[in-house]
Amino acid sequence: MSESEGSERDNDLWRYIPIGEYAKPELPASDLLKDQMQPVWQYIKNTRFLKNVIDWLLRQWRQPHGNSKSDSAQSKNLVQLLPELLDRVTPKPHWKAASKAMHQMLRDWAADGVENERKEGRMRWQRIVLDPPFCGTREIMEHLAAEQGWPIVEAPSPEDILNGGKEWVSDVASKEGSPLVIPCLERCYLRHYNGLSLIQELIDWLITSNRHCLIGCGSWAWAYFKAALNLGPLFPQPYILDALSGKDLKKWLALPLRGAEEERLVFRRSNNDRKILLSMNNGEVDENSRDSESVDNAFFETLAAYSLGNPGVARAVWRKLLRVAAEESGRDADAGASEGEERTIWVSPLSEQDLPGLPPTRARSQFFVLHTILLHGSLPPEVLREVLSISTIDVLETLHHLHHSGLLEIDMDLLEWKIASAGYPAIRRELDRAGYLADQT
Amino acid sequence: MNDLNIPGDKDPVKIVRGFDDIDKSGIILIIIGAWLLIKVAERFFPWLAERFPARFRFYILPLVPILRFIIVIGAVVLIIPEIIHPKLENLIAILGALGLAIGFAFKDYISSLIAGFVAVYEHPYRPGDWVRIGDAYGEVKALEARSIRMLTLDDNLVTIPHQKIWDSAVFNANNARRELMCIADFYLYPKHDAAAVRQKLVEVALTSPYLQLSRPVIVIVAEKPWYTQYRLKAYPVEGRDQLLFTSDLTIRGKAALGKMGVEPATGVFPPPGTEEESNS
Repeated sequence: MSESEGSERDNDLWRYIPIGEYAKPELPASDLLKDQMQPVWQYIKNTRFLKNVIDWLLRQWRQPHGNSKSDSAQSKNLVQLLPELLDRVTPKPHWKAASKAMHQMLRDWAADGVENERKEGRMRWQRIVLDPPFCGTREIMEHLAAEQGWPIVEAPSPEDILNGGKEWVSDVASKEGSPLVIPCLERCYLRHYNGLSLIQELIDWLITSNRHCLIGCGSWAWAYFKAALNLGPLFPQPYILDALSGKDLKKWLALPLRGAEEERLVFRRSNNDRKILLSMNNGEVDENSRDSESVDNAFFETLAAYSLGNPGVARAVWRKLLRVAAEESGRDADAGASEGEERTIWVSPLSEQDLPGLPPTRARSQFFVLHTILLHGSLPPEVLREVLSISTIDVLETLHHLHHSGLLEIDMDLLEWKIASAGYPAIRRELDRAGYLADQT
Repeated sequence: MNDLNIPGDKDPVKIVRGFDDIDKSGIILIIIGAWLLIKVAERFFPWLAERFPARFRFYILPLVPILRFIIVIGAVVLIIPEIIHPKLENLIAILGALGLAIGFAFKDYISSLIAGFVAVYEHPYRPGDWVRIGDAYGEVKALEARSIRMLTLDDNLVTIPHQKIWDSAVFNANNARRELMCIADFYLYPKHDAAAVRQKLVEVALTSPYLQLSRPVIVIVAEKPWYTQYRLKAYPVEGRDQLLFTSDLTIRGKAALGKMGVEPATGVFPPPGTEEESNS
């Protein structure tokens, strides 16, 4: 199946909505209780005696209720998928359908929105689209601008920003074409005492110039701009990619499985053997098969809530949960499958999975580094040191710890540090708990 | 004559049970039980508070002194009948004697206990608050029955009796909130653009990683005979970082003002090295 066909099928997954309408997916009630009990369970796990007692009781309970099926996950030694198979079942998102959704959202505005709004007495020349981490908004915006021939504004360098950036702003003002696309407003400032002048100059120009501008902005940076520069009342309500629900995620994660006619993939939960996802037949989810009655949908509700409805985070977590039986691990991803053969991929429980989490030390410098990187999207170590006013050794040591914990990774295109997608929910939760400003998603 | 005799059960000697009649093991068990309950409460509630969101901490921690008080009262109520004959006349006699003794000997101690009880309800301070009482300033670490324990910024543990609340002002910097206002002072040579300096100091605060962005940043400017004073007021995310936050504001503020060419007040006017000095 071609990419374009695929993107048409998932068109209805992507919706850009005003931020005021945005709602995060909620945890199912059973998981909510489990979530509340997490500290107690953690305490029990840390107390060896209590843990042994609970384990013994669970063993006693499980023995008579145990699953006797020979292919159950308990009877197998499960291992992680080989990279080839992992990439085949969870390929990188191409964002084509999301790009169409953005174009749809912008179509009226880009064509005659300004005229209409002028008639209505609301001079709204800008359209702001927030970019939560890993939602691909920047890439989508750049792709759309290239497709439509809209001029794109390149982000200024850190030196430009620290020197006030007057020249950069006048370069932007002299650009021709409409609408002008500024895909990453979060890269137009630095959280440094000399790093706010450029963004203030740019905002002054945006407000007074009456230029038609499409602006992409990191959701964390927008929260900072609203709090520090009081940008909220100056601009129209931003738009944002709607959070994916459990149902949306199930559909989206099943998309790459279409066309695998020679091999039927079945995804089962490793703790109860229940099916949660079946490969598609002829491009449709195999919902009507006789197996579909036993398909467990609650898993995706939990995944959607844990990943905050964020597709990039959900995909990263999903990849970390997938397992195969050890004896099948060596089997080639593409070879060796005969027609109609069924292959089981086991999905570890979300709560038990060893997803990245903050080191128990919770050092102040860790919060500083994580928060600063989120505010700027990504940063090289030397700029991080300049922004935080801490020593290079402290910065490097903290980066090393966070990288080791799976919370940070290097953006190989920019050679800058960025947040690792699977660690994002834990980072956001801990920063929020510690009282740091968080985005609205 | 019989009418003049004091009945045996009203004999003061008989108010208290004989030593052999007292259930000593029962009393010891009550004391141990009460002690154990207090210890459990002292460990359980702080443990619980750490696991709940921060906003609940200030409601959970004050339960410890209340429970401790209830347990002690309960233990006393259980022990008294073991020692004296539990009759109204006996109780009045004992309490009267106790009141007299306490009035003279333990006046301050009892005053502190009562003040401690009042403090639990009036909330002049709670564990986690940053308070100044007299010359002491620090974080309230524990509310004991008689006193509070406060850890100062110099890492000294200060014990202050609750009775101070009767006659001293208690300055509470955060009042159960996590953040508290910090102030960094700048004293500048008066010849400068005050609006630009004020704006730069706001930016210094807004770009501090310690800053709580949900609270306002304020700069107060005052013209003095020999200098212009700027008071940069802002809130850190974590109250415990107040010294680090103030230092960060001061260091970066000085650097930012230095880059603007603004001179600090030195006590020598005009400041050495300035154009005005060379003209004079």
